[in-house]
Amino acid sequence: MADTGLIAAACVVVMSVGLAATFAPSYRSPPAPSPAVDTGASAAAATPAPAPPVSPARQAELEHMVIQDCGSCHGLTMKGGLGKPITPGDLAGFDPEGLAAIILDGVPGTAMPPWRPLISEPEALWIAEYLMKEKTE
Amino acid sequence: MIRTTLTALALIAPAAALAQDGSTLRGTGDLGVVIERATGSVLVVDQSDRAALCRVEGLGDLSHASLTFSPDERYAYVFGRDGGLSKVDILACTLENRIIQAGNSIGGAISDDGRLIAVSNYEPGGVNVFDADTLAPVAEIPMGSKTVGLADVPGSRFIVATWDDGEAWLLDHSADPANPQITRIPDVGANPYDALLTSDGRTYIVGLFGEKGLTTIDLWADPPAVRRILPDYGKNEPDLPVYKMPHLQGWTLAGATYALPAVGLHQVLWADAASGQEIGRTDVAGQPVFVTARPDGRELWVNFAPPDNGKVQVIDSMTHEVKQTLEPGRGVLHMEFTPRGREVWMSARDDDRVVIYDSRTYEKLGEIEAKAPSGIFFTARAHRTGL
Repeated sequence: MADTGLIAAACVVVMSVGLAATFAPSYRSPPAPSPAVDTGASAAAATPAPAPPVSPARQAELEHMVIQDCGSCHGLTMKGGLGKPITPGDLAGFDPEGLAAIILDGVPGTAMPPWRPLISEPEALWIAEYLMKEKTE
Repeated sequence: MIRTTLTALALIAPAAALAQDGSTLRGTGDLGVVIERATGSVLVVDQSDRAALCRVEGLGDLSHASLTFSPDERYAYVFGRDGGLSKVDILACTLENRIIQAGNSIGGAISDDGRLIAVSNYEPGGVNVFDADTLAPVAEIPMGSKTVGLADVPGSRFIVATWDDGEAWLLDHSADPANPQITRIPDVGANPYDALLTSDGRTYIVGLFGEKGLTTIDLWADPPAVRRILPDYGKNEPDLPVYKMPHLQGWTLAGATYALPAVGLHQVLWADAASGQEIGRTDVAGQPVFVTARPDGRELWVNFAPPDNGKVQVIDSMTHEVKQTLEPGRGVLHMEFTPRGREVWMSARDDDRVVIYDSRTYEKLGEIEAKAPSGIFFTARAHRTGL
């Protein structure tokens, strides 16, 4: 069990930065990712949400899922297969929110399924950001 | 990880020494090869001892890898995602040769005379054919499409389906291996995702992702006769998401019926082999990936796409009912029966082990440590058409 995580970790460096401040933890709620709703002043931007929406443990699970399950079609190294290549180079120019929407709702008429039944919106965004990041080989 | 590596080293030493000094003769009939998909390695396993003998490394990206055996059961030809074609000597436990033959490949086959290795490619598509001894290129057949379901057909022939164009191509290398005679079979259906050849070499069955139903091609007819089967299954039911494409290879005829995975439905479909008519369906625990008949055809063992990939169900081929639901491990990717069907070996990717069950009592008999194992291949495949 621990070995699996380690193998995955050997391929990439886990990045757990940043996202915490970006989104409120709204699991599987509205169709579009919604930024944290502030009742008060714009100064709220300076006070990030207390807990990250995707816990480090869940990030490890998602990373495993990306490598193994997304890898079934896109290749373990994301260089493509039945699915398109989705390396950081291939995804340059996409915005993470758009990628997250594809992950959540799939691409009708293709083999890309909607993952919404299995992951939350913040998780999809985490995956999108993760895919776009250059990994250390 | 360190522990795993040490275990691996401990495994390699004795097996290599055994084979190289020649002091102990052995056959390969009870050996097998397990793909370790994330680490680019394969494990050579011994059925009789239910144990790993050694590990061979350096095979590249083995996501969706498969392999085929030489007629003498000594060499495994491993087809990797990264376009790699590796020839592994399972007796000496060495990587004898390796070439990168394309950008992105999906599977391969060996000709019935054991002389040619064909590989089907996603990038740039088509099929490449190599000399089985040297891996020197013999023929390149561009098809303008990703290719799936490559299988050997008796008479130095291969057949493959094209994902983008929905055709099947029959390649006959018997007269001139470098210039195969090509028979294109159009209108096989939208987006074939995999295909298989029945063990008699007669019927090529193509699974379709882009439309309902499957297509059978009778290769004993001249020209090959195309027939659509089960065209209406699930027509009035909403499609469920498919998180992993089903596979057809490894399947065998259960009695006089085809038992096939539905796509987008959590069902196994039954069709009469002679008429192609649907004769029933069995509700199962998820999107079926492999529907594999025990060698006697009396039972079918089914594994599933995520998130149901921790389960394996056993279906009685007489009653079509699920008789067992097993949970052999996390991330069960493949099942392989021992040649006479007594044991079934299953890879539990997320538990890093291969688990071995008695196929009659459903009791666990043993397990073998392996790194993210996927396909399990026993050498008896060397003598079966279509594998």
